[in-house]
Parts: sequence; structure tokens; C-alpha cells
Amino acid sequence: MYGTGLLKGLSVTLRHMIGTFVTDIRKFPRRYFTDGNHPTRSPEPYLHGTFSIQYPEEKVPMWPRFRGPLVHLRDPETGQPRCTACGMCERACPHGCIKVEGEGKGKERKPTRYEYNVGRCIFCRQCVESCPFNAIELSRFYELACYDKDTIWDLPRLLELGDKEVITEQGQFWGET
Amino acid sequence: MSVQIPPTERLRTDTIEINMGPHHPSTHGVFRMVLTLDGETVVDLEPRFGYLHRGIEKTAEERTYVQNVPFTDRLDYICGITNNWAYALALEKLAGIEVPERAEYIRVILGELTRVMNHMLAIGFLWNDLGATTFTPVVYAFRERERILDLIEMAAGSRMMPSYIRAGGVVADLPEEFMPRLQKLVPHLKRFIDEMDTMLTKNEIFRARAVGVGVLKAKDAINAGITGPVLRASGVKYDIRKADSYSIYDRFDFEVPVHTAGDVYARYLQRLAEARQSLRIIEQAMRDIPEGPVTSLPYKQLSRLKPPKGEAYGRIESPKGELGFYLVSDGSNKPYRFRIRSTSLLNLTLLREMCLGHKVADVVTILGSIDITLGDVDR
Ligand code: SF4
Ligand code: SF4
Repeated sequence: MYGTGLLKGLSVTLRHMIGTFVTDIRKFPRRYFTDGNHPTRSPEPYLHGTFSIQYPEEKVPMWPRFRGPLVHLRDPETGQPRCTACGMCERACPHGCIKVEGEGKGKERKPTRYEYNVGRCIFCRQCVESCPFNAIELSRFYELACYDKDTIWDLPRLLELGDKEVITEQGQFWGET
Repeated sequence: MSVQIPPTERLRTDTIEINMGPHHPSTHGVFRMVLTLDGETVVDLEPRFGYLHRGIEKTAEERTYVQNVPFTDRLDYICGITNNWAYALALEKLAGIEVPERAEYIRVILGELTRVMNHMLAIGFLWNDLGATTFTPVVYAFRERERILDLIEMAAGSRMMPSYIRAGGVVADLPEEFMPRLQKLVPHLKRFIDEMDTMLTKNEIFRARAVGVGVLKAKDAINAGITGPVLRASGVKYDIRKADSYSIYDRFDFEVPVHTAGDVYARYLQRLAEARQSLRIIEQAMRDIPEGPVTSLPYKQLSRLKPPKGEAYGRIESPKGELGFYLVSDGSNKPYRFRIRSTSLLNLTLLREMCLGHKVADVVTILGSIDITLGDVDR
């Protein structure tokens, strides 16, 4: 009969619509007083029910491997940056967003200027993989919108961001790379 | 009371030329079509593209082989994984690199997940193009895509720009959480495809709009070099996974579905059938995946890679069709030539022939059924 296919299709959408309200009521406290178990990341995929999240209030936790902006890591003993200004990351970056200058020789070598242009970075992680001194890693920050053109981050800022991030070793979540 | 106008005094009509795009929402990006219309009927169509040209082929000649991996993500940004894969294959051929067993399985699993995702999105967007009242399928498709992208993000760190497959294997092993999630996701995706099937296939309005629209004959398709679901929907059983088997596809038991009508409806059915086959491959790969190393060429060696002089062409069956990378090496650490045989561009070549004689509204549907990504057309 003409129209049955249409009605069958509409029954699917109707089921989804009802399912949304049902899960919304069922999961009400958990959904709005969040415990980090967000629908999108829940390991159980389900066909019906709410899927979207209420963004600024609810946030999806990032995976450990999420590639966000670059941060610098500190030496746990001395609290000094581990970077020795060897310039490997500068050469590895496909987009030229890192500029390094340093002074000193051998173990004493320290960066005098480290500029990272987050506006050009494509978060490919090649700088991290090329760093031989375990000095940098990509963080899990993702809210990078800003009102000014403050996109060039210097070493103190990168270290400060690194302190906020739980990553302590390069490639911690990547297995052996 | 109607007045009969003698034929000689009828209103003389003229054709009109209009621009559709580059910002028309139905063109899926920045793509312009110059349509010549006689009333509502298309009498001529000329595709104009190049608005998204980024010069990737030339830029890549100034970067080392490993630095080019992130560029490949940005060609067909719906399926980054398969783009990485095609480039990796070409480079492996050029430099003679072996790939460990486990890495091959990981590639197959992620590549087929990408195919499911791409086909579901293509169906969703086709429905979106058919009319605003059917916005639902694309939202459902996006929901399932998000689940697949979750897995890709878990493994690669980025949803759409994974840069995960590199020459010699993959960047890192799958995280522990990956396999349990995948095991739950596959039956779920099966249910989802069935649901899409129930929801859309028999819909009378859809059939009225899609059956017999934009017919592509097998002979024309072959002559124009069209590949992928569009070709197979025209009745040509050609799939590179079978025809020129790469990676480990010869170990899996799957079929290449074919439809013969060659119209928009056949392409829709084709995508649905292919997504089902992809899930079959994933199930087998999940069962057989061995333990072991995932790369034979760690980053520090790969970044210094200097392939011998020569050339290589690596091609895979990407969700949209044949995707190939042609690399010429002059012995240095940068490619001398980096040529991309992109799928969407070649699939677009017969758009005019498919659209002639149809109404304006059908042009949108036909374009949607070819499933192009403008990042892939313009490069
Ligand atoms: S590669 Fe590492 S140590 Fe060398 S300059 Fe870059 S961050 Fe510093
Ligand atoms: S993540 Fe990639 S683009 Fe960003 S600084 Fe590192 S190498 Fe450059």
C-alpha cells in the first residue's frame, strides 16, 4: 500500500523521540550532576535516548592521547625545564610554528627563547616524537578560543600549562613509540 | 474560461543561466555549478571548482616524507584514516618497508570503520539534500559517526585528522580500552544500519525522488574513470580490495555488492550493502588480530628516511573509490613529485551527463549521491 514505507520510517523516529524523553527522566540526576560518565563516551552504545550533552555545564573528558596544544615538562628533581634548545622540534614541525634559541654547551645548554605559535599548530605531535630529551608533550586542553591575537606562547607559559596537565613523561599514554 | 493562444503568438521563452554555489549549502563545500535552465529543466551544467585549492601537492614537495602525513588527512577530511593508509602504502612500496601483522589488522579495522562512517554520512547527507523535512537521517548518522570517531580519537588522539597510519605500521598500539568498546560497537552499528534500512529504503517519497534519477551507464562510468560505490551501483564489480588486493584483505571473507540500475536509489542501496560488508570484515579482523609490534619503522628512523631513486604508486579502495598516491623519489628525504589521484574529482567528471534533462532539484540529489568532499576535489 502506498505510504506504508513512510509510516514505517516515521515509527523509527517516533521511537527515538520517546526514548529520548524516557532516558532523560531516568538518568535525570546523573545527567545533570555529572560524574564524568557522559553519554557520548559511555562504553555501552545504546540505540535510543539522549546522546548530546549540555556543553558548557557538562564536558566530555578527553582521552589520554588527545592532541591539544604543546606544553613543556619539568625535571621532577630540579623543577627546571628539560628542554636543552637542541632545535629538533623546530626542524620536525611541518608548519614552522616553533622557534628555539639557546645558549650554553652540552648539558648546560638552556633555551633563552622558545616560541610556540599555537595559531599555526595543527597538533600533529611530530615535534614531541622528535624531541630526544623528553621535554615536551601535547596537552589535553581544548578551549583555545580567545579575544586577542595572543597565539604565540613563550616558555614560562608553556611550563605553567604543563604544570596544570597530569602528563609527566613524554609518550606516557602512547605505549612505546 | 481559457483562451486558446495560437502557437505563433505563444510567449517566447529563453534559457537562463544561473550560478549554484559556491556557498550553496547543498554543494557540500565550496563548489559552483553553472546551470543553464529551460524552465526547471537543466539543459547544460558546468562544474567549477578550485575554491578550496591549497596546493598540497606542491607544498608536499618541500616537506620530508613523514611531515607529509598530516597533509594527507586534510584531503578527504571525512575519512582521514584511509588517506593516511594510501600514502603509507605508496611510501612502503617506494622504500620497500615491511609492515608488522598487527599493524595490518589495526589498519583494516580502522579503515573499515571509516567506510561505515562515510557511507552512513553519505546517506544522511543525501537525505538532507532531498529536503529539509528529512533532517533526521543526517543527525542519526552523525550520532553513530561520533561513536566511531570516539574510537579513532582514543587510538590516534584526534577525531578527524588522525595521522595515525604511517609507513611501516601505525603510530602506536591500540589502547587497552579500544577492543572492548569495539566489540560492543559493532553489533550496535549493525542494528543501526538495519534501522536506517527500515527508516529509509521503502519510503515512497524517497523512491519517487531517487529511482531513475541521474542514471549512469556502466560504459560511461568506466570511460570516465569513476570508481567506488558510484561505479559499483552501475553494475561494474570492481573493488580494489578484491581486484588488486592490498594489505591483508585476501584473508577475509566478504562480498562486493553490486547494483545495476545506476541511479540515485541504487547508489543509496549500494552504500547500505557495503557498510554491512565492512562490519563483516571488522568482525573477522577483531577475532584474528594477533599480538606483536605495530611498527617496523619508529619515528626517528622514519624522519630520516631516504627512499632509493624511483617511483611508486600506492592505491587503496577508500570509501569513495580509488585513492592513489604517486611518489617520485630523487634519493633525498623529500618527494620529488607528490601526486594525488583523488577520488572525488574523477567521480565528479560525469556530473553534467547525469544531470542533463533533470529538474534543478534533482541536481542537488545527484550531487549528494556521488558523495564528494571538496577537500579531495581541490587538494
Ligand atoms: S626537541 Fe625537545 S629539547 Fe630540543 S629544543 Fe625542542 S623541546 Fe627542547
Ligand atoms: S604539533 Fe605539529 S604543528 Fe604543532 S608544533 Fe608540533 S610539529 Fe608543529
